[in-house]
Amino acid sequence: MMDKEQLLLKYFDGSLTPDEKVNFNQFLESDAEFKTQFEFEKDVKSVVRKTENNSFKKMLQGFESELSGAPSQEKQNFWKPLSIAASIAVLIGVSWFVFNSDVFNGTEELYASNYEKYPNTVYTITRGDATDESLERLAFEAYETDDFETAITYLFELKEKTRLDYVDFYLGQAYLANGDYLKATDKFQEIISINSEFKDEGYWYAALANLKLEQEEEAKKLLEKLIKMGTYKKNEATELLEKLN
Amino acid sequence: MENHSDETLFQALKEGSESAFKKVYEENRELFLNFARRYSLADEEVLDAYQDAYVALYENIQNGKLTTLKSALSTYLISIGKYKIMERLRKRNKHTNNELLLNNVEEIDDEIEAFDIDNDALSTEQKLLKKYFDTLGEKCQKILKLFYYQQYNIKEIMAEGNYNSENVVKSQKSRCLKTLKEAIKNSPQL
Repeated sequence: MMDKEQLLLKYFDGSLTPDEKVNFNQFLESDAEFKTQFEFEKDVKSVVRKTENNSFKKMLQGFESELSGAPSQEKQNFWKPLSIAASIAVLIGVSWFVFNSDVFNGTEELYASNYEKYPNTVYTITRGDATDESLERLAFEAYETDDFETAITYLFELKEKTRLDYVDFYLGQAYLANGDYLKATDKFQEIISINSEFKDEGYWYAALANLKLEQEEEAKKLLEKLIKMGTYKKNEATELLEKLN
Repeated sequence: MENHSDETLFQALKEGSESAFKKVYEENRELFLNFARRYSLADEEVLDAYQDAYVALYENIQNGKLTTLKSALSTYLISIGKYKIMERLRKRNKHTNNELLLNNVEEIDDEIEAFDIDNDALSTEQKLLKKYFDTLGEKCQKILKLFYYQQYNIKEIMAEGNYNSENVVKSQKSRCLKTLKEAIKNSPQL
């Protein structure tokens, strides 16, 4: 027979078998100490769930105040004039568009004109050195040849085995280049939060990834922080921020 | 325009991605508010119900009750939202048209039955317990969150928290529970 502690563990992780459930209920009826412990843990569970759910709800309320603060809040109202503007623009003609393409600075164009894959600055691949089969070599070879899927696989492995600071940054790069903007954003946020040597770059690329995700407010915030740091891509960031405003 | 499929977003939510958490919330907001317009609730209550539904969906993704999407994320949100709306209508003693909620049964409603979606107010004892939970060390809070909120088993907690053995996890968890129990016992408020 299974011991009481084990039964409680299995109850709360949801893995009791039907037989164990019978066993569990018997204890609940006949063993006062077991019952007290169970009731106590149930209370702890309610408290933990409440605490977690409250903190997630607070985050949502935070999104709401962001939404009401930003003029682009109501998506429907936001898109309608935009689509009208787009049709008018089409009527006016392509020649004018070519002539003054800045008017069309949609996020897509802004991204395309600002994005550039971050070069490999951490690992030198020398041609003759065919004996080097290290993970780093494989990862950066793939990265340099734009084979991002492979790069991600190797970078992941590299991350498991080492604690190198730059691995996360290049993982973010590979995700971004591969079109996985959510994962890229998360990686860059992580880099910013741990004060990595790539922190400044992290702000820039996190802003770009957010553009792709249509999170313009977030992108603006990141750009402002980058400009404040005043080193990497300061001019580009200022220019992009102006276009977004 | 980027169109992330629900599946991608779902996977990202599973992994705890903050940007997915925000994106899914924002993407389904209008749809939910439009859907809820048919019930006579104030705008703030509808928004509150949406947030509760969203938090509940997230919890059930985190705790592994929802492992594979059988429907769009928006369908889950609306199905859970119906419960949340009903709770509010009941609380205000309004005439609740249960039929309105029960017709239109979605194929996932059975699945939702098994979800943890209640978010009842805490009892007096539980409130006291929460007070002491909030003062626990980070390590204790983490292990208890993994066990009771995410419903990880001991093995999974061992991997997640870099513990050396299952026994270490078990005794750490027992110690945290004991601290709480002692605090309650010695509480001047009882």
